Amino acid sequence: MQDAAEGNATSGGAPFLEIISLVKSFGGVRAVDHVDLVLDTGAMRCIIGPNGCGKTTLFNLITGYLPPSSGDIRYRGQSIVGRPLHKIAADGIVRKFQVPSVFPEMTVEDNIRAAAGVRHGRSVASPAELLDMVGLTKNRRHMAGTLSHGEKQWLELAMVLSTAPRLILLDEPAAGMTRTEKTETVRLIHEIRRETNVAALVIEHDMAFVAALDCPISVMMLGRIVASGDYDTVRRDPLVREAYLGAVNG
Amino acid sequence: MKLSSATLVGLVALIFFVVLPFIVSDWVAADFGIYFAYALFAVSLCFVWGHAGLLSLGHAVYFGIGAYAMSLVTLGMVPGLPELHSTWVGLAAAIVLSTVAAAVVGWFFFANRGLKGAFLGIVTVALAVIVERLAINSSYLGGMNGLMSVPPITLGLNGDGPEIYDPLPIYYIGLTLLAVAIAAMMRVSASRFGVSLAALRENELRLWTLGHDVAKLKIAAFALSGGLAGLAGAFFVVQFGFAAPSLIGFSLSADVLIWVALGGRNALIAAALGAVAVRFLESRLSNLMGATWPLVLGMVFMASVIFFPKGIFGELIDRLDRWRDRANG
Ligand SMILES: Nc1ncnc2c1ncn2[C@@H]1O[C@H](COP(=O)(O)OP(=O)(O)OP(=O)(O)O)[C@@H](O)[C@H]1O
Ligand SMILES: [Mg+2]
Repeated sequence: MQDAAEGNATSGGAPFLEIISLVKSFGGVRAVDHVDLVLDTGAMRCIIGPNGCGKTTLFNLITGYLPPSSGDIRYRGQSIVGRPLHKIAADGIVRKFQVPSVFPEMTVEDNIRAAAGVRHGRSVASPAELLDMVGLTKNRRHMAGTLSHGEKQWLELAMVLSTAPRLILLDEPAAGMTRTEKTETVRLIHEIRRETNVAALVIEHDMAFVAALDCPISVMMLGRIVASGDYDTVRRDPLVREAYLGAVNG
Repeated sequence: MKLSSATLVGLVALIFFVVLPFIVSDWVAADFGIYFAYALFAVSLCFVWGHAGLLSLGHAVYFGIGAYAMSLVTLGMVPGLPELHSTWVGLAAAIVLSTVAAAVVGWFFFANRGLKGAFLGIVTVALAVIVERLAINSSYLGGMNGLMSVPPITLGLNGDGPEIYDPLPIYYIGLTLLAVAIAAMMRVSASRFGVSLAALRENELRLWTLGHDVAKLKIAAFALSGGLAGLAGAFFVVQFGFAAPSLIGFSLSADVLIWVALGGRNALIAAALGAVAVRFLESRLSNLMGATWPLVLGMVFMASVIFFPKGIFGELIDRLDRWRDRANG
């Protein structure tokens, strides 16, 4: 597993990840609107908010898939805006897509082998250990396209981990899962963080899932972060109650 | 270790082709030497298209470069080196030039964001048409007539020593070349590089955002495939004795696409068998059917795309796979 101390080798006390006044406009729509966010080495934060509030767009900006309209993203003391996608990933920021994204006509095992191609000297668990961790050892010779939705989510998580990331961006990692699968996913995320000290940003809709992750939360609405804090603080925020939790909890 | 179904089919085909010359006349065997060159060409396209998912509609460019390079060297036409006639230098030139050409083309196509899907197809077609025109307009390359009287394989270091043009030795050289190339490319496909190429075909964005430099991967796949096509072109021209602009152009590019699609692009051996089968049937049936042959081939092609989207031999390998799975419980 990844060396915890190595993740701390950030230059000059700069935050591990610092998002500064980030804006992304699509035509007239500001999908991300002056977002500020700081994440420490090895820390985890959940991002919640209604459909279309800009959560995935924020991930698209951090991973370099989309260029920001303005603002900056600083990672380990350097701006990463404008860096090619694969360089950002190779530097340790790796995402799991909202729609599980695997290599369907390849075996589960080869999915991990292909994913693990680039890790730049950072040490990581073996493909066999990773498959064991996500409970897919018995499926290792199956085509990834034949897995259930939940299993694909876990496979993609293992693929992300196989690159020895420093920061994982999980876009709705429990979407489409059964209750038991969700519980298992929570356990998995805790285990991963215990063993690798990888930092994580997690987008999720399911409030029970968010509560179980037990980490600080940022609430997005119409592209802005409107509230931050732990689960109970966020729950008590009147704006959040009305606009989001109210809608979810009925 | 359990052999894959593709390997099994390959071994059966190998045994079949090893004994074939004992059954048919030398005259038939001579044709197969040419078919093996085409099969090698089909393997090169299958690797880049079937395995890495990059559709190259102008692949004859690299085959043609190999054929012309071999011809120019063995004919003593390399500028400043009139004494050079070596088959071996010709072979090396064919492979190196076609590899470099494919790498340069790949770089233009794939650097930065890169071309994809239909755009890639259209640009590769345009390339084949342009290169064919260039060959026709080049007096150095013999223009429309091409380069004639290309010598056969000559074993000596510089075009001296025994020449190989008897059908049987050529047949077995071709078969060996083909078998070794398929085995080697299967190894490459199963390597970490090869698995990454398969992932590129399956989901480019996923691979890219895992940290892979997909442009580099594509250029490498193109270069490797181009080199193999160049080798095929060189082996073709030492048998055929004649390098013409048609070897480098659009029509052969379309032919090889049909062989690979008909044989099956999911397995290198299927593509090779597709090339041999189509060329063999063509030589038999075009005498019988005359001008209707291209029509028949076209119809068979369309039917197979509809009924056997994995190709005829590809489907066979697939069924064998499923049958063996069931047999093993
Ligand atoms: N590439 C794009 N081009 C134009 N508009 C876009 C693009 N990507 C996102 N948007 C718009 O930006 C807004 C935010 O979308 P985004 O996908 O970030 O929301 P989200 O919070 O992830 O929603 P969900 O919970 O449904 O996944 C939406 O209005 C969406 O239509
Ligand atoms: Mg989203």
